[in-house]
Amino acid sequence: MNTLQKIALGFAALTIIPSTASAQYRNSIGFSVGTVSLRTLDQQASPLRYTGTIRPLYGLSYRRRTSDSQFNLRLSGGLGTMNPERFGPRTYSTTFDDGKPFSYQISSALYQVNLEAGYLRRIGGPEPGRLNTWVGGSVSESLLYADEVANFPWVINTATLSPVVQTDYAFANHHSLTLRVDMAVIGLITRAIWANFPKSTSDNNVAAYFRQGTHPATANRLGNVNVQLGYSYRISPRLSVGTTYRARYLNYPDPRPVRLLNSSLMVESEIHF
Amino acid sequence: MKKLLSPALLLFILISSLTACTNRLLNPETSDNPVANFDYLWGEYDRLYGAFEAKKLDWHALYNTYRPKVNEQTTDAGLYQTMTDLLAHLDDNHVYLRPTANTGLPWYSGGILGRTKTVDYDGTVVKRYLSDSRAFTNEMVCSKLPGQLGYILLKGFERDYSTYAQTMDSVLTYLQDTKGLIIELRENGGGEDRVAQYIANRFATERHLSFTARLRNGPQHTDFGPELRFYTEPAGHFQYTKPVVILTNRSSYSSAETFVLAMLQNKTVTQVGDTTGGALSDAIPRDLPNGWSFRVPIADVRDATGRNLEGIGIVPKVLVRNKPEELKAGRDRALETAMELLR
Repeated sequence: MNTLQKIALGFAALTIIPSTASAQYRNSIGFSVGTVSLRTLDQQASPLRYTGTIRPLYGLSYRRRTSDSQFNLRLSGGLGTMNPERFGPRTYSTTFDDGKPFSYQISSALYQVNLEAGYLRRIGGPEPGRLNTWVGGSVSESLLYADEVANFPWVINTATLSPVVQTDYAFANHHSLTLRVDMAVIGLITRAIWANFPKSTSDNNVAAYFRQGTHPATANRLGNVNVQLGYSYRISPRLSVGTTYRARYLNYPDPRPVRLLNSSLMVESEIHF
Repeated sequence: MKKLLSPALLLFILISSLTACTNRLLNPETSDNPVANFDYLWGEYDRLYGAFEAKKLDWHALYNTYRPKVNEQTTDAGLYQTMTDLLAHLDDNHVYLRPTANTGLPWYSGGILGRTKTVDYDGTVVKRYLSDSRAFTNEMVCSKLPGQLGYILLKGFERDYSTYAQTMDSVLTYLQDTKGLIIELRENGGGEDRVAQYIANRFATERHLSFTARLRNGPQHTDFGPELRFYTEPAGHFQYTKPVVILTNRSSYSSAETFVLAMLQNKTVTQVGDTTGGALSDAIPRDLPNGWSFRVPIADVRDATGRNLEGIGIVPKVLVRNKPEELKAGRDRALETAMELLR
């Protein structure tokens, strides 16, 4: 039995555990899988718009929720490919002086890792209703790495603090929609420096990249907005399934402007306990 | 099913809206036409090239000379010709322009190595002098030479930095009974300066400045970041302090040259052969809007006296240029001179 089969069996087992009709399960763990689409024009890296796909993207989450507050923790990551929108993978060929042909192809791998933790409080009436609004904040760490953008490593890392507004709408029994918006007010962003290469007498390239390329930024320079729309169906008191669409827009001007749109569509399941 | 229609519709509308807005959100990418490609190539070198001042190049004047040769009707071949004519003025071994394979156009390589073939070195000739060869890594092959001499074929400086301490321990232990060492750089493809400096430090007895490097960090040709200072100083568990000869020719460039600068701070080291390639900078690959690939050197590297050697190279103390007929006869005169110096 492979790992995925064991996880599926574990979820199935949890769903048949008897539960009292009035049980309120405050905790949940979730597993999600989906796909990521990335489009970016990073003028520091290349004049070309690059598109990337990650399939599958895996996610793990934990949530603790009461009638007035919720704490969320989410980790996701995946591996895909990234190439110029205009050309796709490109091939370069030559013949050496000895007559031997040689060619190579540039087609980049793309890695994405996200970690997010957030806390929200319900605002409005004393008791939750069908429509509930939450406000709070989240801290988020996001890393994008590609190994061959213009045939050179490409990294964008952000660590941000964002206020969050979220609305849940239980539009029917067992069915709900969630709309969430957050925008970074402050953060650290790591980008390539002007020369695109972090030379150092002592650091290795990774340490030098982060040491030389990390800068604090506030919302007037670091545009980092996330919009999330989710649907959830409560199959049983213990189990819900759903889908979430997330879109992230990143905009930063230095040393040359980068604009990035990263969207994901995930299918999720949650076990409540 | 009806209950699912609203959220599904909402999701569809959101995704569709974002998709439609994407181009506007991302900004337009640079057009792919001959003029835009030429301007982008010229502009990248203008922003990033580190040796305009050292080479006394008027890059703006060259724009005015070559830009009129390009228009919207220029073919790929015509654009390639104008671009390479422009780049030839840099006379830089690190510069290249590689059109995509579908154009059928050849690769352009700049500098002396792009113009001439290496005819003063043949690794198969050298092998005839060697015995007891042993490959420690894909970059370091060690051998013995007559007269209790050692030989290190040092092909590059590209492996993980953390591996070199153990590699050099093994190499120098293997060669500990020699009374002198020849380090071969005529097949060296360059790599990382930090690595080159570390290897040189395994032959050091004192601390001396070996070279400095500054990277471009602004739009003016004189805009550079902080000066990085590389030092030759003893490193590792032990050092090899007996006489060393380093063999160079025009193919020895990039980190091979910073290695030479570092090694020459050691009093027991002599350089023999031909002048090095004269391209010491770090260089990064870039895209053109038409998908072609090119490379830009980004640094101002200087020796310990503050001289920039781009386009010049490091002249050996003992100048020996092998002739093709000598190599054909199975003789490497530069190697023989090195051996004689060590005896």
